[in-house]
Amino acid sequence: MAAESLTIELCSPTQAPIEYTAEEVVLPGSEGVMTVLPGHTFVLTTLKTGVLIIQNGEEYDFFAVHGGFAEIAQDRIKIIADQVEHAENIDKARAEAAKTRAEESIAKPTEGHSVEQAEAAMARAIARIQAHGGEHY
Amino acid sequence: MATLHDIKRRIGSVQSTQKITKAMKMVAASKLKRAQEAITTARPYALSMRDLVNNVALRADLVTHPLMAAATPNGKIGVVVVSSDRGLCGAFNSNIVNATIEHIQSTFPDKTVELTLVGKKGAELLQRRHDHLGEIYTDIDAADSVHSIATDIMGGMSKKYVDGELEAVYCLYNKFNSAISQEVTLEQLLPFEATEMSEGERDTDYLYEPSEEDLFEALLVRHLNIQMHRMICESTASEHGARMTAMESATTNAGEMINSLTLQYNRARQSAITTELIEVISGAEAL
Repeated sequence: MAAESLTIELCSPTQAPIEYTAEEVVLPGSEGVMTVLPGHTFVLTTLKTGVLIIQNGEEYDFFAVHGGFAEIAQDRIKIIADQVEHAENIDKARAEAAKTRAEESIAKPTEGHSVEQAEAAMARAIARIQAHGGEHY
Repeated sequence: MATLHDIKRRIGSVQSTQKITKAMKMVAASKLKRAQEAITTARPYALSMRDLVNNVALRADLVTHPLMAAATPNGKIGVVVVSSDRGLCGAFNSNIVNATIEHIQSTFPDKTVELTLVGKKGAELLQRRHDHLGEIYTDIDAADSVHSIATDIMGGMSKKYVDGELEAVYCLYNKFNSAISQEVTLEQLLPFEATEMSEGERDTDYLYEPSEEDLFEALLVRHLNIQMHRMICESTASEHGARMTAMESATTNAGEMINSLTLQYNRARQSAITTELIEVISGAEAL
């Protein structure tokens, strides 16, 4: 019998661990976005850059996550992110500027800035914008 | 005997030294606060990371991973020594340098030790006392460079380990206990050794995304970088703590010196007055 809620522990190198209780969590797994409900099987996955959504009733928390790992064990999720930003702390104008910059470098690659770097920057910017806007997948 | 003027000048110079040590203490205190925050957030992260790697390593029987398998002994080991870029922090740097020399002589007596140095001060001291030096990293103060330095060091070390140039890698750093207490600590980084855990946890089967090997590889590399990062952060916090304590005691010492010099000054002034009085009185009597 699975419990009704999930306990999420979220930590990154620059942030002390925070615990959340949720009914549903959406993770940006490296093999695809996954939704986790209580009673989920044991999974270990790497995370890519994307939006993490923690839903508890009517409340939604959005985060931009940039790489890391997630350990899912039935009702406990441990997210060890390389970097994580809560939607409230995201500067949308800055993210959009970063996105435009990245688009430019992808269109016109210059010395010292590889296309891969620009694409990674672009993915980060998009994740920030999506998290800020509270967009669902 | 020192003249009044000389004493006064010395008091002035001690006072300006005290001003500097006081200011440095304040700066160290505020930097310590920031460094302490960084380390208190990085520690739980590093710990969760270690647990995770540990669990995966034990469950998955991945002893074949090149960073976990014991290297062929060749008598060469690598030690990363973390010191500071700046001086005036008491015995902080000499402690770590002495500990390094001691470990080379007693812990690894039959090995050739290659030192990788982080921090200018430790590098300056160890260059004179040790022959086998690897890379030297300085300017660790800049906030975003810590991560790239840590990644760089571990990348280089892992490569040397996998190529069979080094049979083990250790890190020697000042562990941050509190503002007034630091502890020189030696930790093994490579080969990575998983510690045992309780039976119950081990039985659970996990699904891995992507494959077990890829995930473990990513985890292990990340884990090593994070540990290195953490050690540098620990050392930075320790450095500011050590500096704060050193400057605090320097300020107190300067205060004591000012007091004793002031006493000396007053005595000298008094005796000058007395001499003058005697001269005046004996002059008047002679009339």
